[in-house]
Amino acid sequence: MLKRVRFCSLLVVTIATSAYGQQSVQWDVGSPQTIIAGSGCQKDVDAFASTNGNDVAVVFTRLGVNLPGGGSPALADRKNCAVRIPATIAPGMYIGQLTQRITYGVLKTARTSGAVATRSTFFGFDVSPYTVSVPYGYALNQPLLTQQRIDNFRVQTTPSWVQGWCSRSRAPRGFYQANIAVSGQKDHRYEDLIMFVDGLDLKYEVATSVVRCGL
Amino acid sequence: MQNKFCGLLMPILVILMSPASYAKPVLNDWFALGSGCRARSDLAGNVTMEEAPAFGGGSDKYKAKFLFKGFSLDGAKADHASARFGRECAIRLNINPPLGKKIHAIRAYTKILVEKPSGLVLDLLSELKLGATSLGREQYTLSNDEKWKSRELAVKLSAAAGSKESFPQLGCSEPKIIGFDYSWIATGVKDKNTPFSVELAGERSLVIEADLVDCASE
Repeated sequence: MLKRVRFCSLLVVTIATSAYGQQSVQWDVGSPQTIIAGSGCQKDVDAFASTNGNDVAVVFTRLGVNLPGGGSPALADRKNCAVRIPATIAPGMYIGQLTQRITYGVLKTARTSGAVATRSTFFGFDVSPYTVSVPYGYALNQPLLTQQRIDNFRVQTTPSWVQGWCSRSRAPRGFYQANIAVSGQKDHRYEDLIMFVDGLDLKYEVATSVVRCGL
Repeated sequence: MQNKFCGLLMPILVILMSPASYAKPVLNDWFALGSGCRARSDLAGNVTMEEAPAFGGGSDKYKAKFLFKGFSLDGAKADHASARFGRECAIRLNINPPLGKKIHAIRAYTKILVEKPSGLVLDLLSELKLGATSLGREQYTLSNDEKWKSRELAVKLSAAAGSKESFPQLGCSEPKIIGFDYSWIATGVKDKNTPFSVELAGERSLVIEADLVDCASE
């Protein structure tokens, strides 16, 4: 009898573990705490976000700088978007890696410069700032560019860190927060600086990788 | 007594273990967004999704068909202040392998219909993604002197575990986001009356297929 109870208990534990294993990060993009807002984006209007498992995908259709030559007299522009998504990590896991991928386009003359920058935190940990620069001094005609960056989180062994992340009974809850900014400037109103080309969008993909405590 | 105990418990465990007990469909939430499309599983727009029933002998193949209405790169709608303009559509589809299954392969099929005079360049890019990983890109560049009259371009992108370096290592039952991006760009648009167009051919669809396998098999 005891053996059978043990067997059945083991089965239940296995099922529960598998259920956590299915989704080690649970995002809550539908939560009222989710924010996608800024001068270059508005959630569910010109920016859609999707989350599943360890993945986040956001598409922006208005996050860009458009300073065509001969257009408006403005010589500089900046657009930003703040993204905040609540997340819960399965008990006994911690964050190991964060991958960010940006797809964008640039069309510019030589006497202009621009940048796409993200500054993000995951559960309060700073992810080192990620900037893609389009420097002054040469023309660029690249409507489809992709940049990817991988950050590894340093594991600490202090008791408070271990208690915070590795409790078997408590699932750590926090936020993924990112501020994405697109900026550009030019020397003269007749220079062209378009980040991004008319009709092209900015796509932002984030993948997290979690590690089981003790491994 | 012993038989009674397990007789009661085992059916419950069997129900718990069956994939059906996790009510989440394998292919569920999706969105389509870009300068040429806007729709979501809970928001009507110019893209709809039809989920075909699982196909194949072992029912481990899943298919979603996206139907597009009015997604085109049309010369008549070009902003002629700029010599270049484009239209894009990004599809994101959530896939949730049931317990004991994992994603083995992803395929995407679509057809593009092009009408192009000489005097402009068209770049037509399609990209298939799984999470933040690109599984494949296909780019057609139609040069300045090429003339195309209602010609179709077939796009087939696919990747499978073990056959391609870019396919990510996936865990058992690991949910993912499948992505497919269309980017159509026209360069050198000089004349307002230059008739050119790019749109999806036939039934104007994108088909995404996913193969799942038993976790133990890989």
